[in-house]
Amino acid sequence: MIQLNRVSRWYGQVIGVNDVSCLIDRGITALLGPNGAGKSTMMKLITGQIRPTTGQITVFGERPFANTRVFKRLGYCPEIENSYDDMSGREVVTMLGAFSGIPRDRLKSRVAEVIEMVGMTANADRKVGGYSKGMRQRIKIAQGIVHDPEILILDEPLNGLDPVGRRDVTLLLHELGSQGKCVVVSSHILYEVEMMTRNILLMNKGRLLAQGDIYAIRSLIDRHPHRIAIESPQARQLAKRLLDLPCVLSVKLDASDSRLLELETRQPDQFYAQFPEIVLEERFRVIRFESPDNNLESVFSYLVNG
Amino acid sequence: MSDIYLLRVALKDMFSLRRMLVAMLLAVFPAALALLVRFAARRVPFEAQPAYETMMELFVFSFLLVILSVVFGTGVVNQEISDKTIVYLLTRPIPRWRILLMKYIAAVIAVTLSVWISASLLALATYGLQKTEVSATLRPRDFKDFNRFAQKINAPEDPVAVYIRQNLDESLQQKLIEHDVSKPWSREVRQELIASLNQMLKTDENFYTPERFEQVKLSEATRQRFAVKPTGSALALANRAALEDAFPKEIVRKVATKMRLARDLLILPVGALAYTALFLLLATMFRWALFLGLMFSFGYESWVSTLIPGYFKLLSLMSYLKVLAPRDRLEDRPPSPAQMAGLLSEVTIQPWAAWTVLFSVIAVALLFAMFIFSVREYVPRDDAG
Repeated sequence: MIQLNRVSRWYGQVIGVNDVSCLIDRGITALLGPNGAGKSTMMKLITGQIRPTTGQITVFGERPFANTRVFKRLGYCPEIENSYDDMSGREVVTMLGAFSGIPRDRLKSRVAEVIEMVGMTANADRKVGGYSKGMRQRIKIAQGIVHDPEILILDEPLNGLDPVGRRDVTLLLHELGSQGKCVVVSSHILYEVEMMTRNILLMNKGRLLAQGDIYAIRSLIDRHPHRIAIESPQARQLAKRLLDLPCVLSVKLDASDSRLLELETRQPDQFYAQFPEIVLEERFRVIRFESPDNNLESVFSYLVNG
Repeated sequence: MSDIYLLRVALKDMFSLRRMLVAMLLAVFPAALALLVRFAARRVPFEAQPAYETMMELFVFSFLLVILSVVFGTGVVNQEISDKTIVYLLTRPIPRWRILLMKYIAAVIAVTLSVWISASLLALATYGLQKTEVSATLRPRDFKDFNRFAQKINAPEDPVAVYIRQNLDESLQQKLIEHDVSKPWSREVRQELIASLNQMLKTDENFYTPERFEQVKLSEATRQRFAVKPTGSALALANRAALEDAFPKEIVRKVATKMRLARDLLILPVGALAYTALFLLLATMFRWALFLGLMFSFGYESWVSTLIPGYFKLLSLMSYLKVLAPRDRLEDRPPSPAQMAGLLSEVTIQPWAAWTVLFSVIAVALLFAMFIFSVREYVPRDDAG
């Protein structure tokens, strides 16, 4: 349904999307990457707000820029927080639904329906200006699905939502995906994406690094050692004990600070499971425990550089 | 369906409380100023027409119309861009040109209503809720300066004065000649002269002849009164109007005036269409369109169209609007610097040319704006992610 063929997009000297080719079809696809990876740019390209500098992009077989035929069948939930603050949530969805060409006689019931779908029925008649971030997010999603589009593009839809909201929206997207719609969701949180889909597009610095099944990409990530830094007064003893673990590749004591050690592992899941036991068993004192790899960005740098 | 909705939403946006409050404050200003002048200076007889015409030209046309067109015309696009809500509109199945067109119409409606309110209030404040016809009868308080009037009647060379003098009673003529200029006129003479004048105005079909009034600049209102041969009360009013025109510094103009409100209400929307289209075009091209618009209208438009003589005025929209809504140049006031420059400038614009230029500007600016809005990207660069 969406096809990108060697698409690049520059903002002056800055590159937003760099030579991306891919095909996105029915079901949920997640666009995963750290902030600034080019996810939003890619979504703006797909939703016809901007044109590629080079390359070609087609949606339903047509160029999407300012293309009303495409917009009739496409819904978009932008990342921006701004909305029509002096209107109520219901008014916003009604207005944008009318703009999407929903006939007058069906508009009211359809708006009520989608507002119920995003769980905003109780607050729909309050002004958007007084909404919480989560409520705004829900109304943004409602305006994106009001005209029952075949393609739904959502830029960071879980941002600002509480755990219940995350679950609700995730379920809603599952439902839309299982109806055979093409749902594209962007996120910078791997865990979030895992809850939604197995099908991901991995982006970093404007490039598409990998496309496919999330487990394949996970294992790709897992093949690269995962570093963990630990601070403990008994660093030396702890290091010795950790080296015995089969999942630990190497342990390094910091030259300048004798209380710091850094280890590498290829099976972080296993390590995280075993580490607390060891600490409890041997009564080690741990002051600090962190993994510089826990954010996506360093995983990506592994992928790019490794 | 979506068009009507689009217009409705755009109108709602235009008529937002904050915007309208500012617009109304500005709109009330000329009327308020006119009222102030009218009631603060009670000793000087207030003349409705010059007050109306001056405020209309300087404030409503040259200021309010232009500034509201800048604010509403650029606000149409720039507000949504800076709020980023434009994204919601640009990803809908409505052609972009139609979004812009509806917003343009909404802006023109907002500007037009505001200037209409302002012009109507100004007319109300200057002309008041007077009856459609004022009385033809001259009263003592209709004279700005009776002494000067009486002196002028004595002037030997003015054909109007000579005619009036000749039609007075012998005794009254004598009293006028013998009057000591250093003394004020006695009440009796004054009343006698006014009564004789009234008699003359009421019945004399030969009071006005084109030859006799050759030296007098007749107002448009007076010319219209004599266009069809007036009789009865119409004759009295026409004669009085001619008298007012002949002695503009001595007699308050009450009859020889013409309220131009209807004409102005017709031309103001033309101005709103033209200026709003121009500023809409600016807004589709530049983010700082509001600033550019203000620079253009108050740095360029107002000065070029009024102060620089010659062909420069062909480059200002206001010159064309002024051709369509000309102001009576009444001789009893020194011309303003703007008028002087207007008199000096050798270029005259014909009304048909003014209509053509204005509607060309509207069409070209609007089409160009719709084209640019359809092909340009309106996504802020800073949130490239």
